[in-house]
Amino acid sequence: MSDRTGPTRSEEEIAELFRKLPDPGAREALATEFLPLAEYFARRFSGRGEPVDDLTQTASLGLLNAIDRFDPGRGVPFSTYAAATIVGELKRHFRDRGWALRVPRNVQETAILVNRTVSTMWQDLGRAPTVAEIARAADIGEDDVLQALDALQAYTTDSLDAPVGDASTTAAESIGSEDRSFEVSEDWLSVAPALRDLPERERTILYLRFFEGKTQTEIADELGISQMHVSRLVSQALEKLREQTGGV
Amino acid sequence: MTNFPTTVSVDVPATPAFVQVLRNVVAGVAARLDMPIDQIEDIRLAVTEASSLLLREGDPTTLRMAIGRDEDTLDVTLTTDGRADAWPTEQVMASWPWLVVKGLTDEIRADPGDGTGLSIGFTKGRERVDR
Repeated sequence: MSDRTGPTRSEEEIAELFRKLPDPGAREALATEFLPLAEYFARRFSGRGEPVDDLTQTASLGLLNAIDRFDPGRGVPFSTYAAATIVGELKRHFRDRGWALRVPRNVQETAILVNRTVSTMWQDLGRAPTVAEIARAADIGEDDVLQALDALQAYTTDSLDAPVGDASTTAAESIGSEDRSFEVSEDWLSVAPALRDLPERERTILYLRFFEGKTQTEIADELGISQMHVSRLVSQALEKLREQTGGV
Repeated sequence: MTNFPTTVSVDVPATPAFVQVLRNVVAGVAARLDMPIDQIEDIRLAVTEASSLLLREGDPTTLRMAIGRDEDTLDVTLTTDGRADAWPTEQVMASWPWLVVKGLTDEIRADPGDGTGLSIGFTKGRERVDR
């Protein structure tokens, strides 16, 4: 622990203050004494989308609880006990808001940032950007981009702010409206039974992707959805097929 | 893209959980080749589908992925220590995963290796950007 968070009073002085409890003056002196500890942990938990002020307040509450519950007879230094209580309080704070601590908030935020950046760049460039290009545009590291892309693939289709086409038009309808004739390949016929249980839209995308050899961009244009969305639907459909056939 | 070795290779246990590791490795390598992200995604999918075929065949215990590259092309070979009398079978070549790998990549190949295992390989070149 850094000097900044260390107590300014000696062990004896602190023990003396604890003996005076529940005297309000002693309680306040202890709170002031260990406030830097609370602030330290509040900072450690920052960067997950919660304002630092809120975190500091939560940590301070944890500190006060620690002061009230501390038993000097246990032989544990107060700072140790307080640290555990403060961290516990901060974790509860995040839990109450439904955010799993194990996935830091900033991964989600990075994913959203990357998703937006990709959409914009894809339009501007007329092709998919590279990881390096996304990293430069979003001003984050290439590894962060890769991690975000991975996270985006793991998301279900509706969990981010991905633009979706007119939901009332199915892919099948939009294709039919162009009065398009399917030149069905033999390859397609051989695997078609396996695709029977897929939703129409996913089946259409797989057809366009793998049998007409269209790019994600072309399919996205055709169906009026974003490229990221096409990419997710492809992954999703392939995953279903794998589950069905007992593969990976 | 500096100091990139000619070949990167990784051995993992031949279980579905470790295919995810290979997916991430290949994505990282492709990113260092400056491939656009849609092609990176293609490669990830191809690795997944090829692995799913290999894991089903001949009780493998180890799955190896070797990634070679030149300036604009990735060459990925997945090999297991599984044994089979014939490889790739008609059934494999008519399967959905096989067609996906074929559809996503420039070239697919399957070798019985040198008698020591089964493999599926593919190449994927960086596409021209003016499409």
